[in-house]
Amino acid sequence: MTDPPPEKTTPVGDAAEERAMLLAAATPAASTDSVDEVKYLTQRQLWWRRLRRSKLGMAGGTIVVLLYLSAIFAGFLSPYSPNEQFISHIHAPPQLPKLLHDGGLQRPFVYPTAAQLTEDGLERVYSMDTDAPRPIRFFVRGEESYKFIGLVPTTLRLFGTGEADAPWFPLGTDRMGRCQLSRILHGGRISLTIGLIGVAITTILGTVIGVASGYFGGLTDTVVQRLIELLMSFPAIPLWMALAAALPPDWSSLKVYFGIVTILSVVGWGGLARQVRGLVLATREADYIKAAKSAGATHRHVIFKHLVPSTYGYLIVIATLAIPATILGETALSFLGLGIRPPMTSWGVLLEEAQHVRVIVQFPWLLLPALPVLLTVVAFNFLGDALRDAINQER
Amino acid sequence: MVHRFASSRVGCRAWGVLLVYVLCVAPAHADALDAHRSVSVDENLAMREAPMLAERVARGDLPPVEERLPENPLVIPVVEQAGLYGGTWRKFDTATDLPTMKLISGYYPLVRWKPDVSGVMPGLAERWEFSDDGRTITFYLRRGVKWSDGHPFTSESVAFWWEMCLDDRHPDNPPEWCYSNGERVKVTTPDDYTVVFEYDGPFYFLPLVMATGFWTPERVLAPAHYLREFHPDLNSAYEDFTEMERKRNPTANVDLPTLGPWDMTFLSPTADRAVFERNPYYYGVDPEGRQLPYIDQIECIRVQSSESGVLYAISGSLDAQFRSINFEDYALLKRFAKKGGYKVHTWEDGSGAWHTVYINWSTPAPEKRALFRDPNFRRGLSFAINRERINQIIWQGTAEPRQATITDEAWHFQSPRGQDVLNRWKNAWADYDLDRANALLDAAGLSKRDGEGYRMLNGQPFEISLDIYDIPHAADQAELIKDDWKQVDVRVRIRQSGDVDLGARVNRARFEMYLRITSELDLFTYPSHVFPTQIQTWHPAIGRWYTTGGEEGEAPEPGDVMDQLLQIYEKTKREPDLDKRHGLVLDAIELHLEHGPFMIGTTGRQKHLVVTTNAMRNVPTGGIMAPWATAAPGSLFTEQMFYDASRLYGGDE
Amino acid sequence: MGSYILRRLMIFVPMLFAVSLVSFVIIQLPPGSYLDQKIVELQAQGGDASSLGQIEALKRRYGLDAPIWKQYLMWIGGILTEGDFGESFAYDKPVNQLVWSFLGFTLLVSGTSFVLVYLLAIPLGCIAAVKKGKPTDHVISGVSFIGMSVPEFMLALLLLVLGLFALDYLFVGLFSPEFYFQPWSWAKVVDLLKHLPVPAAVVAVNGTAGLMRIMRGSMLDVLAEPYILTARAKGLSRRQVFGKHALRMAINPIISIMGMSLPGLLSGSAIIAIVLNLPTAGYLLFESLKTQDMYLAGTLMLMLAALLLVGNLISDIALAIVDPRIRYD
Repeated sequence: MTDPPPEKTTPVGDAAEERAMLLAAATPAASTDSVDEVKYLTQRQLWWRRLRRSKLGMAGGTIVVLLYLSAIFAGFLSPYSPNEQFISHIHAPPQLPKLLHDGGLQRPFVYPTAAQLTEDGLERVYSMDTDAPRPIRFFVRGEESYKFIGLVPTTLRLFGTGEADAPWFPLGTDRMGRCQLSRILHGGRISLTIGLIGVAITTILGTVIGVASGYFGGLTDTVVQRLIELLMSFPAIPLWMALAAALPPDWSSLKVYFGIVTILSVVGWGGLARQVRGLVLATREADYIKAAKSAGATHRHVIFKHLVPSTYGYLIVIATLAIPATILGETALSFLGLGIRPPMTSWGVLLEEAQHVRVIVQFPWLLLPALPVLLTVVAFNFLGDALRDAINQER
Repeated sequence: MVHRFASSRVGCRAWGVLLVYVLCVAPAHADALDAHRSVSVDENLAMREAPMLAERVARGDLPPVEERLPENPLVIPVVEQAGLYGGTWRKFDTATDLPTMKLISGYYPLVRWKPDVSGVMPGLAERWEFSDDGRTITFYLRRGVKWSDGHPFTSESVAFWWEMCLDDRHPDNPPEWCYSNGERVKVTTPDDYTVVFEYDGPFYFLPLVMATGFWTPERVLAPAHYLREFHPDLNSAYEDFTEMERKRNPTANVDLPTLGPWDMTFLSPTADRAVFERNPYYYGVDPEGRQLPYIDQIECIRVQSSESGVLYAISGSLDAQFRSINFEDYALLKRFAKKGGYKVHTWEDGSGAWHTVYINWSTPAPEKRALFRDPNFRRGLSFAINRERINQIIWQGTAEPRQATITDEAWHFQSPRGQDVLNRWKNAWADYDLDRANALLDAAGLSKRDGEGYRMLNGQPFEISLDIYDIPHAADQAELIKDDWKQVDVRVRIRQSGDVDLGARVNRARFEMYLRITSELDLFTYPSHVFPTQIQTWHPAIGRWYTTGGEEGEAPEPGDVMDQLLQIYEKTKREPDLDKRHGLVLDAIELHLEHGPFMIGTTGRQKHLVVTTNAMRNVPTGGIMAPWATAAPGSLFTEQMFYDASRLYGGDE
Repeated sequence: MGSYILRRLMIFVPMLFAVSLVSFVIIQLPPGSYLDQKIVELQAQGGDASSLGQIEALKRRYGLDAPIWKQYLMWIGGILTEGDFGESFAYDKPVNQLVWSFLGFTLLVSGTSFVLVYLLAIPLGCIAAVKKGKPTDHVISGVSFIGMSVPEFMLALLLLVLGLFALDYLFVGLFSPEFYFQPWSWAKVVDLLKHLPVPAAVVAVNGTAGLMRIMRGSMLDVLAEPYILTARAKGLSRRQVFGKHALRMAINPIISIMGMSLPGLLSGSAIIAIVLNLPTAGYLLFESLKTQDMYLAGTLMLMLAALLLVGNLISDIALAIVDPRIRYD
């Protein structure tokens, strides 16, 4: 599944093609007469071919792409604004679209719901008005406007009832009567980008420092290595906690967001830099680097044209596998109240609410934000594992 | 699973070491807890002391109860009936210094708040009297009261506290209430049972100060005979008072003697379990003269979040929990009440408003300060708050939309005039009326709008910075208020800047508005919601001026409302007649109605949940929790609660 | 090899100092201090001049009125000369006493989960590798991926609620309430053993999943080595090849990870400890960071970091012993 399929289960043709590709990659000049269309495959095309063969990897990749698309189009996909409060629909349970009304099949619809307090005034009970089905419409106009992809102000939403008196909450609402689906979709923007930006910073820092350390050696190397060792002496979660607790309390939520990103990535670059350094140490003595140097190439040229590209494959794998860890880190910090601060919404912020026993017992749908976290992390892991297999096969 | 790893060698060794370790720190436990079973129910009801103590008396470990009780014990009324001795009360606490425990066993003041907070009653002082000029207050202590170690309680305790206050090397300084006209009070103890406070001017609040919370008796009534052992002048082993202060911490030192009904006898090294056993020398008896408390001991578990506490409650593992239960858990607790065998009571929280917007009278920016002092502006903002929406969203409709006031039950409001003032106060500018709000804001000079449609101040963009503490509901309410004020084109920025930071900024008057809970029962000793006398609430700068005697802070304009309020407060201190004193407080509130609001309330009268197990009897009713100064539930006499026979003599106990 | 170990030790000491410095700086980062919080609290109780006087005295007592570098020197000086790690404000106790008392339960929970992790991960990883591509492998791998992905606090919460409502059993704490205050007895030990598996298992889930993946990968690498093929070709039994050659090689990465997981043992359970109300060091750290109980937080950070350094040292040495091919220059 995550490793390349064993030969037994692989169609013969595929195996042959694979071998030919390997041959092509290893000895570009020698195989001109064997398989014509293969010889021009670049390294990346090779990786892509192998990756495509891993079903789980592809599934993971597809899910990841869909998740990020949902984050980009969160405003359009969500039926309401994430902070829009429906005072008459506090803690409303989820309602699935229905098809059968009055014994007849209809286009998907929902029933309007209304809350009533129980006799002791303690709980809200929602009842459905089964006489008045409201069809689910597409491309409806909402009450509050948002910016499509963050640019174009509009009130157009993908779906909804389009009626202010009968709002529809597919995943229920929270304690302030806010649509949970909309909040999850918007929370994804924060959680998913934290993973991406955090890992991007980690990777860039790690690569640059690792390459520099390995390439120049000497004092630079020693200092960098000691620094990394110091950084890596601290276990990640306590260090995250300590640094997050140190974020200035009066920062705006946007600043806190970048603060958290920085914290999550600062902790991670050391290990990466060390591994990159190892790779560079091995490649530094390679003939083509020596050749480049003796031909008068600048350090800059050698580093960015030769050394850095030689680590690409490795970096892609590490980055893919580091993203879920970062996302889980954000979730944990926010759960502890040290992460993203409201009114900004992330999956961790949504889950902070779920730590109450009453929520689990009375409003279990508020646990739903755990699902996208699970989905994202599994998807990234599948993808990363498949990528590793695809790229590592060269060795 | 257990067997599998227990069989591995590494596992075995680790287990061995750990078990030895935990065994060493296990609580030393008395079998005495079953002592009540050695007597019948009828015998139990006839006994004058707990069976576990009677056993100790019989063994000669303890003097008889007559010798342990004072000459004139405090007679404590029972809620339903005289009770049975015995049993263990299980509760939890969320902080290391066990505040909820202190409010149960640490309230042993000279003067007590009555359970219904309608006034004060004798505590460890049998009586007290003022001289005719109100400058000298004499407390007469109960004779024969003993500390939990049997040592007599005398005026030496107060003398020791005062000695420490005057000793420059000791951290205690004379508190604010020890000064009158800038002169320090003289504290003398003519004999073992008399304590005299001599002030420069009349000071009629002293008995009320003495009745305040657990922290006043904790400091003022010091176990001198015990603490002297750690005095650096008397024991050469100590260089300073560090060790003495450590020994003085009632929730960290099991050896510290107490005067309260229960005495801590065990504290786990991880501070997550504490046992409080009955104090054999407790000075309170029930109406039949039987020594209290009825319940033998209290086991207090420290939980790391109140969620664990809720789980303990619904699994029926709590016997009585008076604090630390969130109102939001009401429905959950009710749902499992039958299964867990407990009752959920609703006491008053006592909040006049939860939350209140405190508007800084001395806001740093001059233009904003002028605006904030304009009553039109504050009234406009008040009319713009949709209180019913806050009530529905945050409190499920169980609270009361209203203006910010102190607690309705406060003793100042007992007279008909008091009721009238309270009514007008809580309804002032509390309607939701956007038209009036807009008109008032226009009148305050905010009629021009900026590009985004928000109001401008003197042609500049205008924004209110609203600070919040990290307390339940604050963030949600702040969002709702922000949304409400947006309807009248006022821009708000919410800042959650951490409790320490906000506390410090309030202290220095460097804020614009912040959210806080308003609740207070006694304005004489805790005046700051109405009188600008302290470095708190909506007037820290004026309060600083007042407390520092004009050296720091901001002076009120002569004759302005702040000045008038301060003058009324000065009069209150000197007024010997209690009714007239209450009248002065009402005068001050009338000033609020004329110039206010200085703080804008949202909703008030929230309930406070109390959970007690079905077998618990004599549970007090109608406590008011939020104002700590009156020390509920300690002031409501938890020592007269008891377990019915089913629990004490039933099969499984 | 002796000189290798000596060299490692020589780096160890300055590293420890650097770590202590960084720990101290990190815990000083948040504005204010525990005592400022205390002031806020005292003022809520009716704060007046006397309470503020107490605070000033406390500041002197804890040396908080000195500049930060001086505070650090005092702290580190106390550690070096008297083994005195300072005082915990919230607990009103010397830090080393406090840390020791929390260590017992911490080791109990994390020791159990540690054993659990290795007992599960190594065999499962091996099985998955040997059965590569077969349904067994798919099931094991699938489950492990999910194990890696569930936020651990969710798992703890769900177990808690499930236990209470489905099994009528309270997983909070390490004891049932009725045993909390009992003296030690066989029944209490049994009660403890009943409460231990849930937190230990929750702590173990994440670790097991990760370690299992590593074990599987490592085993796969080894199984592909020519010498394994040679051994098989020579006619050695599957069992012999696997146990004698493959496992011995494949376990090396696990050994080096074992050292690194030492501090995780003490801190990893923090979030679970909060949900399940366990008195562990991880929770203590979280609490001390929140209340700015600085010497306690600093000591815990220092301790965890020192443990990691020690762990690395041990695993390097262990690896050197297990795998003689490793060269040290």
